[in-house]
Amino acid sequence: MSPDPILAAPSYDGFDYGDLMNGPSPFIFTLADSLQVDALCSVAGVTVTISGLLFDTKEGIRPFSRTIAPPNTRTLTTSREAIGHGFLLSVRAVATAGTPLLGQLFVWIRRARGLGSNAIVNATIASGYATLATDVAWPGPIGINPLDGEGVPLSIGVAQPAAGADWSQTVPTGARWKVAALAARLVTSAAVANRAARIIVDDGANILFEVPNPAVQAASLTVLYADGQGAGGPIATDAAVIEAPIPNDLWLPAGFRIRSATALIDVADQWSNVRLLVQEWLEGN
Amino acid sequence: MELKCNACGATYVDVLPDGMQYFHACAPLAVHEIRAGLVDGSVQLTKQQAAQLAVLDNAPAPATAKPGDPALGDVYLSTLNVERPNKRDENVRTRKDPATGALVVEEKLAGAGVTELA
Repeated sequence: MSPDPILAAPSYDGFDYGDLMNGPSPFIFTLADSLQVDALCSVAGVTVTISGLLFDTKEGIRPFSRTIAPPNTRTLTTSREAIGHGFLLSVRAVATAGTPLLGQLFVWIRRARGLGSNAIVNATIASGYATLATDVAWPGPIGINPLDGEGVPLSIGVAQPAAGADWSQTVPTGARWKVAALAARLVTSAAVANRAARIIVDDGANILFEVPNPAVQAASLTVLYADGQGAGGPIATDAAVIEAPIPNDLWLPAGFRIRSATALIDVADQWSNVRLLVQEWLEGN
Repeated sequence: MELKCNACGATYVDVLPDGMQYFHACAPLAVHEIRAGLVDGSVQLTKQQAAQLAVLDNAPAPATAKPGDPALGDVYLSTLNVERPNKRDENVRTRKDPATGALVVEEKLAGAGVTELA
């Protein structure tokens, strides 16, 4: 009987058959493979350090470590590096510079065949949000997707419009927001007219939701508009604060807007101190 | 760095105190800006929109209208979402460079640009 061709084979991609069958890890790296790190980040000054251990029977256990500095544009950044030949024993990614909150830095650790732009990803080893203290690790918890989890709570200071103009905030590229509340101050000029401020949510072109505030604002007044989820009633309005509801679970993807539309706004009226309370997830698209 | 948008006049900082990049995008025109744009020719409505505006501008105020309520034409204009000429949108988009195959991240609309204030 001829020998089994598989059992008789001396090696596969440099691995002894016995090592391969009894190896300590499902993630085997040949010299043709690379460790690929994909990252999304929304804050400046972040460095991610990826470190781990690789094992083979000839060279034993070898540590590796590398760093990447993802841009803060929430766009996917990819880097690949050959880490040598062996079984991956462990790997982790953690922020080592910058101060990302959980929800502002997402990392995928992957294996790819090749190093260049034509490399083919053949395994995702770990994925999750990382901070200075929270790592993404394998072996470890099950990997998550960027839209999983509770998001990061953010207070967004909206650009102050010119006098006589309305304010608008566009959800940034790569972000998904859940808008919880907003506050905005309108100072009206002496020009007599009742300004009626509305809050509009649109997809960048088409109105999806519009709510008039329950009171108008006369000339020469300063009023804070406070709109929020769950503010549906009873509506509380006094001389200084006008309150209105926005939808619960107001999820907005990139390019959608939340903005004011003020009927009878005067050229000298001024919106200011516009702030949004949002939860943000990195979209990962 | 504090910036002023040359298209809409909004002022903002490019990096928020918590380190997040701020991406400004101009708001649509306010009603009085649309009216001014219609006069100076910088804003164009479709024929249908212009006809509807003419009807509402010439319509009597509803019996339920209170003093100080906006005119019907102004209410209509506030729903049109008229974008600003030379609108700026600093949000980014990603495209693949056909020559190198590399992903290029670029600003969506430079518009009229910005002026550094501080």
